[in-house]
Amino acid sequence: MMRLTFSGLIFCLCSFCHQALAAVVVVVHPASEINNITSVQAANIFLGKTKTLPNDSFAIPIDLTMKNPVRREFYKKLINKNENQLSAYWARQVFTNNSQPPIQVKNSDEVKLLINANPNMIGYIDSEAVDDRVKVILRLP
Amino acid sequence: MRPFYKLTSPFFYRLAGFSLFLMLAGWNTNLFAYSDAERDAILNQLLEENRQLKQQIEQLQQQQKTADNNDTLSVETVSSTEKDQAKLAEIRRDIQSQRNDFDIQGFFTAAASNASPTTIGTGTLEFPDDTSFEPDSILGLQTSFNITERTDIVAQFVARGTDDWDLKTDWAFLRFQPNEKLGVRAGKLRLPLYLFSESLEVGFSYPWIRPPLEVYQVPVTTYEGADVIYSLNSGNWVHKLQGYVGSYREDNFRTNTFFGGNLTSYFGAWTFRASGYMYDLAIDESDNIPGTPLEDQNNRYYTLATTYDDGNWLLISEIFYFDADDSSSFFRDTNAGYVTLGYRFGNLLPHLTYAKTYTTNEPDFDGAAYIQTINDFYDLDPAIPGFLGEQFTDPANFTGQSYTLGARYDINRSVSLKLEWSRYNDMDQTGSFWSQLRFTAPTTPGIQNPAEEIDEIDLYSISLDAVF
Repeated sequence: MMRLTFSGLIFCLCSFCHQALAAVVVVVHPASEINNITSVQAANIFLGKTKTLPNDSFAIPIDLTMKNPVRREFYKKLINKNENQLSAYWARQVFTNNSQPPIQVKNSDEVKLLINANPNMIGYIDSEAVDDRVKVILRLP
Repeated sequence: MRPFYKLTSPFFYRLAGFSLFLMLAGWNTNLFAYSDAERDAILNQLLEENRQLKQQIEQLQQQQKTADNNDTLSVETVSSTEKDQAKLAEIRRDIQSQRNDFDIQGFFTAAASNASPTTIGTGTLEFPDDTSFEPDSILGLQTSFNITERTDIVAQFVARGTDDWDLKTDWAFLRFQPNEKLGVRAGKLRLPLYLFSESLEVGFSYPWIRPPLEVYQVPVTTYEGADVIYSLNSGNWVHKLQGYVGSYREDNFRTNTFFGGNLTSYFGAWTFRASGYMYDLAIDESDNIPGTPLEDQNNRYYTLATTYDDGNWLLISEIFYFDADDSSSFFRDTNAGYVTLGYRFGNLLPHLTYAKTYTTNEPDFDGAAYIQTINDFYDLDPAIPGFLGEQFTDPANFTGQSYTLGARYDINRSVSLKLEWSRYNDMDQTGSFWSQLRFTAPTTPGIQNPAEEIDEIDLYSISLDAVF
């Protein structure tokens, strides 16, 4: 029993460390002209303050659904806000008709699939999920 | 039993005849011309050819097999892309369902408040001295319809407790966005005077139960007209420039065609805003409002605002200068502003606000004449309680300040609970911006003027805000 508890503890610690260490990266189409953006620029796009990338090209942000832990990490690291704070932010944008929250997909595979099919899209995924279908333009450690 | 070879049997003759025929016919055929050695050579040649053919067939079969394998591979490639395509189509359908052509969203605030020691009001808003659910309670419904990718229609209907929950249209416009940076709207719009003017009704979107009343009390909150919004990026900055033109009209109250504009700049956690608004105002003669009819021209608002929100610290500050018509019997040049500071502990956001408002005298204003007007209007004379005496140099002038201590608690991502205590004081016998204290004739015998007696008002409020 004791051993079970101990290994459980180790497992918890490990999974905690793993979660804490994982970086979230902002990604675009591999052929995109953009090679890097600042976290403020990324926030401007994902919060709907702007609809364009720094090179003035049209940007369509892709969000993850609320069930996805990467989403929580992303907004915590990007603007230090939780889901409730984000919701209050979007309430103001929506009811003043400024902008609507980004479209949502379930996981990083869907993000990569969409971005690979549309060069205007910009998304964020776990750094471990990066493959040749996307290009990393910002790393949030 | 008859012997098979019986020479007389017809079969024997037939066999013999056939043999003779073969012999005669075969005489001239090659087969019979080859020697045994030659036949062997031919046979060997045939066997060799047969062997080669077999080999060729095997090779072809091998090639066919490889080709088949290739085919299988290419089929798999196609099906994998098809799988991606199918998945992509599925995601796109999913996205499409998040972006319905027709959409309904809403917000709701259920609030209760209690003013002490007396009922206070601003002309448009009243907080009774017993528990009331009316002043801050609001229901809003918004619907939008996408006509094309770049054109949509938006309507927002708001029912307020103060209006007996009558549904009113706050927004109803057609919007055209020719590109990512430009948007043009026409129809009924909310007047974008202050930072929170456009979102004043959406309690869930801000920390207080209501934005500070010292600033957020304006005669016009919506208008019929059009606006243009242009946004541009520069490095980490995003700037939004808005210009508008329009007018407002009620039964006994109207403006000219006014115009205004604002610039909002975002830089990370910071927001900066400056705005200006210019209008003429006309109020018809009314039995309830002294000083009417009224025609004020060249009223101007200038505002500055800044917010800082890093997720933990929250700072909101806003000031305005109102430049009233110099000869107005109703409005005075006014300075007002507030500072809110909050710190977020998880889902709890306690905050403190200080707000101040004061007017400055107009040079053209004839105070004595106006006091006479008021006293005549309410049919007051020095013998009757309520008579406005000499202590009022200008009854339209006021001053006041307030402290608000509040907390917002986010119950979940669509509901929040707020508590607030506000103390309004330092009114210097003017009743501050609480017009009710200044303009309502006293009904209680013995009290000269409510404002004179009261210099401290507490307002307790609780609200539940939601979006859906």
